[in-house]
Amino acid sequence: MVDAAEKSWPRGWENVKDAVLQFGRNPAAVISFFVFIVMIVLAIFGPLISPHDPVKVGTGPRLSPPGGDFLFGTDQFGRDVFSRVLYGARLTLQASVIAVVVAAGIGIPLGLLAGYAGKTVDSIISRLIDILLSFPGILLALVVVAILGTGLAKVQLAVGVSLIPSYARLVRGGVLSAKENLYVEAARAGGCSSVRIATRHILPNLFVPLLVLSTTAIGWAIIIATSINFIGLGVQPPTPEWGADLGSARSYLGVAWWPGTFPGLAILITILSVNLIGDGLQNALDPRMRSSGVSES
Amino acid sequence: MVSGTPLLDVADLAVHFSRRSAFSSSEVSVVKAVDGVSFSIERGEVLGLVGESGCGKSTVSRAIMRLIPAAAGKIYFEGRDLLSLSEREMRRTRRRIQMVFQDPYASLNPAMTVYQAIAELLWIHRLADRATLRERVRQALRDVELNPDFIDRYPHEFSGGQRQRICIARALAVNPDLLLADEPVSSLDVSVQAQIINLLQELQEKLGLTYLFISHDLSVVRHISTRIAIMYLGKIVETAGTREFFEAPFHPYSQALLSAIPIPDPAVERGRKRIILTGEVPSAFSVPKGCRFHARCGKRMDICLTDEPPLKSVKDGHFTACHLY
Amino acid sequence: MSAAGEQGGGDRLLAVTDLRVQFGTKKGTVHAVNGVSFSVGRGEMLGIVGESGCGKSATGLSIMRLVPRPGRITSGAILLDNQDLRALGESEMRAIRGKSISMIFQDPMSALNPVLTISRQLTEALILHEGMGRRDAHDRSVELLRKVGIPSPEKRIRDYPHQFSGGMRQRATIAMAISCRPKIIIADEPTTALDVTIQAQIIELMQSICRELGTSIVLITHSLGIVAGTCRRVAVMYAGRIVEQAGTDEMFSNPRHPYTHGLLTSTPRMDRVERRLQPIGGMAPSLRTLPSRCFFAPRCAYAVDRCTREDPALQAVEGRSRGPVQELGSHSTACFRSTEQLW
Repeated sequence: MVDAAEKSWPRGWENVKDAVLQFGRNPAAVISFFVFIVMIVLAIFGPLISPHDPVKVGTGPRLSPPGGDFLFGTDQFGRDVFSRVLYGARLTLQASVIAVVVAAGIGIPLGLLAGYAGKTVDSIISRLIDILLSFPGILLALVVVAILGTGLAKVQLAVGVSLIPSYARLVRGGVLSAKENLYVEAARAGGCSSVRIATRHILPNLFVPLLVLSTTAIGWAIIIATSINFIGLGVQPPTPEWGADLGSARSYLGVAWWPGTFPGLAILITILSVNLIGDGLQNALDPRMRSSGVSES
Repeated sequence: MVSGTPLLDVADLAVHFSRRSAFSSSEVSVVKAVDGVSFSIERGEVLGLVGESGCGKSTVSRAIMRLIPAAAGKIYFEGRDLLSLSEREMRRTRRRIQMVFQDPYASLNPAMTVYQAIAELLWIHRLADRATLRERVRQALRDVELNPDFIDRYPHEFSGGQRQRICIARALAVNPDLLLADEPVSSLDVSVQAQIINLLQELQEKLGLTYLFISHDLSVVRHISTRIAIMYLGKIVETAGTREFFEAPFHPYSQALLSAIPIPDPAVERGRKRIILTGEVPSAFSVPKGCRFHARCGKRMDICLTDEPPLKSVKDGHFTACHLY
Repeated sequence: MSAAGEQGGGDRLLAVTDLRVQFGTKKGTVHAVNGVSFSVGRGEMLGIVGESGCGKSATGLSIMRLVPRPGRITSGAILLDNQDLRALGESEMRAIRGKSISMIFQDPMSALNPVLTISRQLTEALILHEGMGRRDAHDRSVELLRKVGIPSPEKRIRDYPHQFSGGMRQRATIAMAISCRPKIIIADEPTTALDVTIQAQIIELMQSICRELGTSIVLITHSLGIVAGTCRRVAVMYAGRIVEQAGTDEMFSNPRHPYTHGLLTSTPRMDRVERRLQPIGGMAPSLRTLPSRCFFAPRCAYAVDRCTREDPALQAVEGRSRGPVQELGSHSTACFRSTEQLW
């Protein structure tokens, strides 16, 4: 009987373990990870921990500075800024996740089709992607909102549409290069159908790049969503939303810094942490792909 | 060897690749990678297909499996022309013809365990159900002398020779009639090569398999083949039984090839007469007129520059394409 | 650990003594070369044979002091014309590379810059090492290309590497290697990537260089066939050591190490038909640890108890040369059972 060369952890856990360790060596990524967890927790439990009703006008004195009963102060309608930020977290994260799901849900099959179905289909889809990509994300989302109208759901859709090209392009590229792999040819020679090859042999390889893309995409989604709300085209008052609150606090910045700054900081921290997590993931997962060790002869 | 319908009968197979010119999109240059190749393999035979890079031998195997489209010709497998089958019928036929590739590292999906890789083929060809799948895979591993306890390991945990065994196990798990081996030992070390060659020989004898063994290494091919076919620039230039071929090769290219192969024996090497070919292995982009080999041939005649010699019989079972005969 | 008759400089052009090379990787130290000693005479062709991972390439690179990081030579002497190359500084070493010693690689594109013409690359060494002017260097380069068998060299010298075929690229690197008339050339698997008929051409070219220019050649290869036809002496490497060294005729007719014997019986021959090859079972060892026993013992069909407890040193064997010419030096092997008739 022939024995294997080296003992190894069972299954593929060795790779996961390596990746987690590598991620752990990146302080920025780890901090961001915990920050993000905190964000998620706040978003989920927002209503439970919120000290005040975020939309009730006159909860406290208007434009009162941070302190006492109101951790972040109150806005021009006397509403608790802290409560608004908490509720806003939920909205923002929800919007970005839905947008990413929409983008992936449409973009991935589109990319698969482009990569697998032949030259003409590929040309059509690629041109479509190029057209979409030639618009800056925000502009594209604005166009969608202009067509469909304002409102939270429409914003989520708009943001999703603006992210579709990134997914489609990544998957298309991945499919085209994966098709060159000998094991794909071997699978075909073995009798596998195209569908099976696409789902079992090609798509799993794209899991890591898609994961990294998704973290960046969440960051982009937040920027676009909050921007649309900032200019007032998304959610309508009195819905608490970071971008919207930031927008409406503009005129008061001279007298009161807190109604705008705290939502703004929340946006900044969330996007920064999401991006750093993405970076950390990329570093942790990519070197793992390359075979370690030195050629010895 | 059973006579009658050969297991595989390739007739005038041609495979063309087209390349668009960089300058004009209407100008397309056609590379005739395989340009009219005919041969047949009887059940239980091992045909060694030999040639240097660019001769088209790998392309032939891929065309037989219909991994790439054929431009012309017929490929009869048990009497049925594979080129006339639908994609779905061809997929089913792929159970009966299996392939082993040159690079054992690249032909296994690194994200699939050994079990998943072999079980996949058994599953799609409906050779086992959920209950028996695992045991069938274990048996496949035992058949290639691999420890069946490695069934849940990933390819990167194995050495090159072991990976090639896994590939062979996968190919033979579905009980094919014909195995196409495309340079199966070329990327392995000498000592491992010998192990795999022995394994292939034993399996062939035990299971009565038929092989198309593609290689550039005549020493390996001599060892395992019953018949040999030599390819040059898309055409077969000589074919004969193995012993017959090595005793008396007819085509000047075959003779040059044989004289170029080093033999691990200094006394023998000293006594050899070398035929050193001039010039390079030509590319299929610019196929010379007349006999394709004439530019490098020491026995070139006038007719060789204008007429392409047909493959014809020079002895019983021995064919060659050369104007000398 | 030194082989009888191989030590020191003396009249041997290259003398390597107890060379050790290690690579420090994340997963520990890899002992790529573990005490290798050999010598090459003037105008002589030495073959170093072994499978992948045996350390033959690392050995070749060490002579040029080109071992890539994280590898380094940890001990040993490399004497070229009695001068210790390890004692030289980097700039002195640079003066030697390309001039006194040159190297040919398996992949010609390792040595050829794809964005420079052949002319630029050939003349560079001549201008640098020989101090030639551009015109003279150009003329000499054309001559060199002619010498290595490239047709119409005056025209082709202006080409880029991608316009050359594989065989021609290798010829071009050989031209570069001989341009400054080196004393010795290290050829690391120079024909492995080439077709058989081209391989024959390149081997013939290298033999003529050795004959006509008197250049010594160290031919590193995995092919026993190639060394049988070209080299005067052969060294067989396994797991970073030389396990057997002898004149070529002697080595092939009277192998004394089980590994050498195994290589010979597992290599299919074109001129003979054997029923079955006799492969060497098992696999090459990992070089991360150095066990204190014979490295080959786990795979050896003839291993006895002593082989699992002690490490055999390279010992001389009484030569029973059957070739027409008396071979230089002796026949040595690292095996406790070398005096027995095992096969």
